[in-house]
Amino acid sequence: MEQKAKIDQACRTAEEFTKLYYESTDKRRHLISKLYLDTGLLTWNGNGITGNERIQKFYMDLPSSDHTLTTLDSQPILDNAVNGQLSFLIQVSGTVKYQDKGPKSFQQSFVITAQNDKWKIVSDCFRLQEPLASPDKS
Amino acid sequence: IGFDIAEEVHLPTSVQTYLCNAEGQEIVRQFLEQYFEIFDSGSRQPLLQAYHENAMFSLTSSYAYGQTPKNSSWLNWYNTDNRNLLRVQDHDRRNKLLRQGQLTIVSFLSEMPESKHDIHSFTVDLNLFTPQLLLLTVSGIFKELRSGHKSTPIRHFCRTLVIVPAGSGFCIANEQLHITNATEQQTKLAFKTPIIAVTQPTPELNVNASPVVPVPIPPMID
Repeated sequence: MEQKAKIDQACRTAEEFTKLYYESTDKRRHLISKLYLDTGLLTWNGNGITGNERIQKFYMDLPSSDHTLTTLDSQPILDNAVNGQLSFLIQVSGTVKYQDKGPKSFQQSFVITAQNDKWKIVSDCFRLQEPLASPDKS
Repeated sequence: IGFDIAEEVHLPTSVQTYLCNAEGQEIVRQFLEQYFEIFDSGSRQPLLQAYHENAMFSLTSSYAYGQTPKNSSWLNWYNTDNRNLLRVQDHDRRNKLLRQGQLTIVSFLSEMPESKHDIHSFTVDLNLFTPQLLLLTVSGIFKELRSGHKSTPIRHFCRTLVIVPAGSGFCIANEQLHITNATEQQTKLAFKTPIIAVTQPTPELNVNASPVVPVPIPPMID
């Protein structure tokens, strides 16, 4: 595929993917595992969860959420890194409210790859924008 | 008498570092040390060898929650090149803001404001580690030097890197950088841990880093 067409596709796919991903996370969480490869990885604030079934369980235990995106970016991953298998690198930033508490800023990045005509998450890395140790506790 | 619905939100405890494979630790440590030492030095030109000849780089930037240009440091420098797909709809503009090739990328990095990163604030997530690639996300705090602001801006960054083996070392194939202002809490804690003096000279990028160990892990993408 021509490079420019690939870049366009990376952008369009990222727009569709993030819409679906955050709708699923916030409103249809019981279906979230369908978005991941069987061997997919979620890294949530440094806690690694491997496999879509475990990821599903992790999400079911997480307080309900409401995400709002502020920025979105997407690139095709270089062919030699992924053996020519079409894969995109996506990074977003935004705010998230857990159980209607005050919003927190977050950044999240994904690698998604084409598998049998479906986009699947290979890796999902989430970080809240906050210091690891709070100033009062040290 | 209250109700039996939790009022507190209990989130899993944050962990500073995640390594999907312990074998990657030394490579990641060396790579980050070398990269940020050069990035914070007087010249970013040596980063040329840290990027693949066809590498891709893009930047996004926004004010964090509750921040505005009035109550925090301006992000104007970054916003000029902000490849935020939620705002930039034009295909040519999207294409142009995706910087391609090591020369284009390093010349852009060289124009960025001078910086000093607080390595003690870094979170590191090594999400993939295969013979073909490493997928790394790093976030943390840096301050801007000589940027003409009234007070030194304290920023928060998040970089996602796809790193591939090259010769005896590694180089960056894809990179996404997000920049925002540090929160009040982050600013309070920034640069508080004394930096331990590095006595040994850091080896050149791409030269002394050990090659990818042929670890028995299946490629995630085949």
